[in-house]
Amino acid sequence: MKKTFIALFVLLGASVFAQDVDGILQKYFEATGGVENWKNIQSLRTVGVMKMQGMEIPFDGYQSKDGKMLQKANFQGKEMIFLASDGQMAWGVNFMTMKAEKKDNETVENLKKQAKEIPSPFMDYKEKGYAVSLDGEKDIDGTNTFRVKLVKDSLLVDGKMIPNVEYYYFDKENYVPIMKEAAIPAGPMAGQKAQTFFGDYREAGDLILPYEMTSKVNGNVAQSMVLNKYEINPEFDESVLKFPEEAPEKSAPAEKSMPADKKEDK
Amino acid sequence: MRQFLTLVFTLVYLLGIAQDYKPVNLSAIKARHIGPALTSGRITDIELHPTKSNIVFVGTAGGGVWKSSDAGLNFSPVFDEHCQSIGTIAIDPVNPDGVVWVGTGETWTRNSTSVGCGIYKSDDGGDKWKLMGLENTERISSIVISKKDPNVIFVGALGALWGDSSDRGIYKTTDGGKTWKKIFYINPRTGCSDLVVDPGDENTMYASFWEFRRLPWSFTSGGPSSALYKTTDGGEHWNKIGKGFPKGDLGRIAIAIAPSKPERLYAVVEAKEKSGMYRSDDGGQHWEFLNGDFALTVRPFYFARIAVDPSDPDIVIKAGLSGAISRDGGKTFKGIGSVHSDVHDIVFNPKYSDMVYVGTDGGVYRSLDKGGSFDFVDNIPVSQFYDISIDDATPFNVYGGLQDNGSWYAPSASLSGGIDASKWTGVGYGDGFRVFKHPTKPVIYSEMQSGEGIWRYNQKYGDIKVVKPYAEAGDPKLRFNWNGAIALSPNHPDRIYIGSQFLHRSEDMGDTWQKISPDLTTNDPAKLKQDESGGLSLDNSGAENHCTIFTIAESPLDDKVIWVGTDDGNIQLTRNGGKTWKNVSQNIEGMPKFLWCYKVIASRFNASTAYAVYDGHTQNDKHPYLFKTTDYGKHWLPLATSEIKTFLRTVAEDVNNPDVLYVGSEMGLYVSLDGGNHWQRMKNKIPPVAVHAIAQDPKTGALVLGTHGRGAIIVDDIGLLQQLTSKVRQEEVHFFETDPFIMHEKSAFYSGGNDRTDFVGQNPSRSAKIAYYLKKRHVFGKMKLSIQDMEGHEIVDLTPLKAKGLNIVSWNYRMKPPKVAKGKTFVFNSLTAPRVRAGKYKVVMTKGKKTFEKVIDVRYDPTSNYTSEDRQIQYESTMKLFDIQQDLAYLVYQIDEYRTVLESLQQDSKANLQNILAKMTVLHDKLVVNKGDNYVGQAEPMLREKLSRLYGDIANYFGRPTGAQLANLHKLVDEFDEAQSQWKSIRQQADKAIADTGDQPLKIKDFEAFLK
Repeated sequence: MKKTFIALFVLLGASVFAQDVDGILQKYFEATGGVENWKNIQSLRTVGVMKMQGMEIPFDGYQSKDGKMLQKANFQGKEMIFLASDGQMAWGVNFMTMKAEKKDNETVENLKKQAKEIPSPFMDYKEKGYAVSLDGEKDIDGTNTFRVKLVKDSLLVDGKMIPNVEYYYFDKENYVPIMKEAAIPAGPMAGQKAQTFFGDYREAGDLILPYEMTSKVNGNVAQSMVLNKYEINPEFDESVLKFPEEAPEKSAPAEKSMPADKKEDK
Repeated sequence: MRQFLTLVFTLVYLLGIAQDYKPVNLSAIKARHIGPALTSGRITDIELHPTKSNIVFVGTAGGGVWKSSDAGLNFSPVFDEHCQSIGTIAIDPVNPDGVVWVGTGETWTRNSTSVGCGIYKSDDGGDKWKLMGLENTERISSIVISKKDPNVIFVGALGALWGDSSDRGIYKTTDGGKTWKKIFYINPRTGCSDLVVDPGDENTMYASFWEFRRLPWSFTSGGPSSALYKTTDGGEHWNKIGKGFPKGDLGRIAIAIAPSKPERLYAVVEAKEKSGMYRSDDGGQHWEFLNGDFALTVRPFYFARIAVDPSDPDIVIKAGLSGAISRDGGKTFKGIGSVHSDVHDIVFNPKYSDMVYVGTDGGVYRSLDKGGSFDFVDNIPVSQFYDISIDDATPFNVYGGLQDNGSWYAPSASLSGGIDASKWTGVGYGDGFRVFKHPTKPVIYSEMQSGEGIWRYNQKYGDIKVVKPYAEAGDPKLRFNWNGAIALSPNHPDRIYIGSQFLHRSEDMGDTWQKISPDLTTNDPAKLKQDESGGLSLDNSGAENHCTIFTIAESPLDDKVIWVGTDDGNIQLTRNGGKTWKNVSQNIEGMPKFLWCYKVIASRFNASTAYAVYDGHTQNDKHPYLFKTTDYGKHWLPLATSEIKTFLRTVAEDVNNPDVLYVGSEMGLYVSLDGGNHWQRMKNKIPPVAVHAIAQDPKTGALVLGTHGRGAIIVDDIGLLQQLTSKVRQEEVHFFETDPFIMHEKSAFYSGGNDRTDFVGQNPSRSAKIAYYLKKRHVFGKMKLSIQDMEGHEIVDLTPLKAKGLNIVSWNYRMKPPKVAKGKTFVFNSLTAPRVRAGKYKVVMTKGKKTFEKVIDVRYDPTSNYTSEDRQIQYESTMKLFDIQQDLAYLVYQIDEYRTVLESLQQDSKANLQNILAKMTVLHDKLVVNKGDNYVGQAEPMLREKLSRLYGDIANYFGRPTGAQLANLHKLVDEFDEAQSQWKSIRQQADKAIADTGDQPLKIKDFEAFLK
């Protein structure tokens, strides 16, 4: 009888008290395909549609463990590279001139740090130098969640290093994150809270991944990304990441004969 | 019997716990704040980062904590999950980027001040906060953090204002706030009003203790226990100091150390004689009286802050009615630059002392010349409404009066941008309270404190007339509450009520008055000695006026039924228009006597039904008291459960569903879906702020909160709660019924000027709001939400929200934009999607394998000036241009495909390919822009650009296109037809050329496939 009580106590204790952050993360990885399958990810391609302000913009993204990164979107039939990085420098196309421009040094420095997040910022977080802790529980729109605090490498913003903290909210029922929250680090919205809600978890190869990510700023929907597919460790032509000295676009052939416009700014 | 009823009352109060009520997730119902910020509100404390000038924290009387990261240009609220009354803020000197402490509970103890809820700590610069205890201290005046060990913290607690309490004095923690020890305590009437530390020796601290007490009808400052103390051993021992202070009882003592010369102390001492500024140059052992100017001695309970320039011990600023600065070590003072009256805090930038911030009753000001001149921070909307009302305009206007900031009204929505400062119109001076719009005339009633002014403002004629009632022959002096009761009749537009101790009624908008009641209060002489109020410093502002009528309600169903609540506990009822009155509060069982009847409302569903809210906090009782009668006050049912955490200010009955009730508490809005059996707090963007008043727009169901600290807050979608029955909550998916959606068709140009820091209140959404309930959050598998026409054709694919409980998804009545031809540049006008026509549409939710549908009704704006024919032509023109742009896109696609193939053939093929390709290029160049950029390098528009521009002009309008537009449409259609014709010929030539090479005919997508 005494043993039964002890066993019961241990069981209760395990469920009520022993919910440490590593246990939550372990259950998350298990619930979404297993640690081994997660660790197999060297690079990830995401293809889908970005919805914002009534527009639907097809996009195609790529990110690898060694810092390669590509984000391109199709806008009115034209493919635009918003971000390309070979891990050392980064560039993107200016929307006005549609010519490639190098990203500022701080953006590049901060992008370099993002490479560690493949396959997941939580995978081997200690080796990455990240700090992860369970920061209580919170009701997120009616769902009970664990709030997990993730402290990543500091960001370089306006010449200063600032803390880079994200809070992930793991559904207590099934251990997948349903939301993450972070303060916007720079720009006119700096300091305001940005939330990303994760939904439509489905199979992606051997993993279970979210196919919809809706971003809100201060609670108002800003945009949502609806994915058509994930590709794990896809073929990737790295030559596209090279900074083009001329406009990188594949436009109507006729433009080849046109001189570049040199007009001054109004 | 009485005991039995008390038991019933207790059981009802505990019901929330007993039945394990599960609140419904209502986070989809988001509030919006409209300010005003042009007045801001009462600031209690300002704290600057010790080394980074850009970081500023501001504590407010009722609006929480605000943080700026750009030296006070822009502020954001950072304390919205906790009580909003702030006493003091302290930044950890060792880890100033990370650790911030907030002591809650304002210490400027005016009649309307709120209460705190303990001490909080943030480890991340103010992002997230954790309660660290001292919950019962109510008011924290000071926090001192050790520079050697940040786990060692001293807290000065002023404590309870309205009664005895032992939760005050000086507390110390040595473990970073996990445990606290009260290390110095005087008595239950005396709290620590200030605690300062010697910057060079943290074992040396000075603490002022103040004996004080406020009652609903009086205030007492001072007594034998008020004194200044000093410790030199880190708080182990405290010695009374003050050699040179006035004899006799002392009151509130303000204390400050000169940072650059720590043996120099300044104190402003309240006393019966020789109140004023004292200075010590020997660490507090001896004090010299310097100055007793009004600017220093005025209202010590309200102004007790001294700031010394960190770089010059002779420069000192004292808070006060206007603020005063001395440059000669306190001997003489002059006023600081112009700021709103009632300065509560002043801080010098520790590194650059010309930079000064002050906090006033009207917000934060910044100076760059050491207080000589100031600019105002216009983005801290912490205004304190005493009351709120709305009118029946579309959109409705919001009216209300503010603590020390007059009376105002503003529209609940604007056509341009939002509700900025320019949208607010002043309609009263002084402290503003109750403001009402006449139901049918361009007349606004407003008032000033204690009935000093009651105005009738006819906006049409610019006519402002004082219309308050005066004592008639034989009457005693009329007593008006600080927040004087005014009410309109829901039955007679020109009728208005005003409450003194009598109820006054006017049938002609205030020109003539009839007293229709005897004294309805207890008229207790012991509570009518306001001319003796104040303690050591007489303070008879009218704020303590008592035994007055506070709330009045004429039944919407019977104009002879009038309910009156008084600040001394009575609810009086007449059922014959004032001929006879009955005190029905005596029938409320289980409630302490003489509590403040804060609100009584007459039900809109039944004349015999009324609700009453009592507020006991001014007698040190913070229980929520809410009662309902259904028999004209003979019996009262208690409705407040333990789910409501603190005392109440107001109650409102939903305009459509009598089971839905709202109450405003000192810490947030609560709602009941079951007639008051259970309550839950509405949280989404509604902080736990004091909700003093609630109004509901019957047309839209929008709820308007008059908060005492966060201005006016509008909850647009709360009317959905009317349908959230227990049956609905059992369904897997439930779509809510909605009124027909009206497509907004009005526009305006931006008129906000160039002020980039002005707070702009959010406009309501103009989209269709598709509301549904999910029993469970959707996490796994695909979920889709689309709008279809009644034949099932998809119009648009929305992003569904997936939360457990209530979800609201917006649809802007638009379809998808056209697919346009690929060119060198973009055509931004074609990002516009056509608007659907009025009619019925289906909302279709696909969730896993299940499908759920709801039909919605979309209508044109009935107030627009467009005929059906106008709209028909607009729609047809838009769709014609939509289609032709897609046709053009397909045409250009074909040219591009053919050109690619022909170019690949060129190298080893026939010569006429060159000719065909040249024709294609000529045609292509006519169809789309093939050069330039999207800014000033843009090329001359081609057919695509012309179509897009015309499309944008027509599709973004709602009425008949101009004749020129229609003519232009025909012209462009002709141009397109001509291009089609040319392409047909070129394509035939190209097909032949390809065939001549022996290759297979080119296979290209058909139109449908191309569009996908």
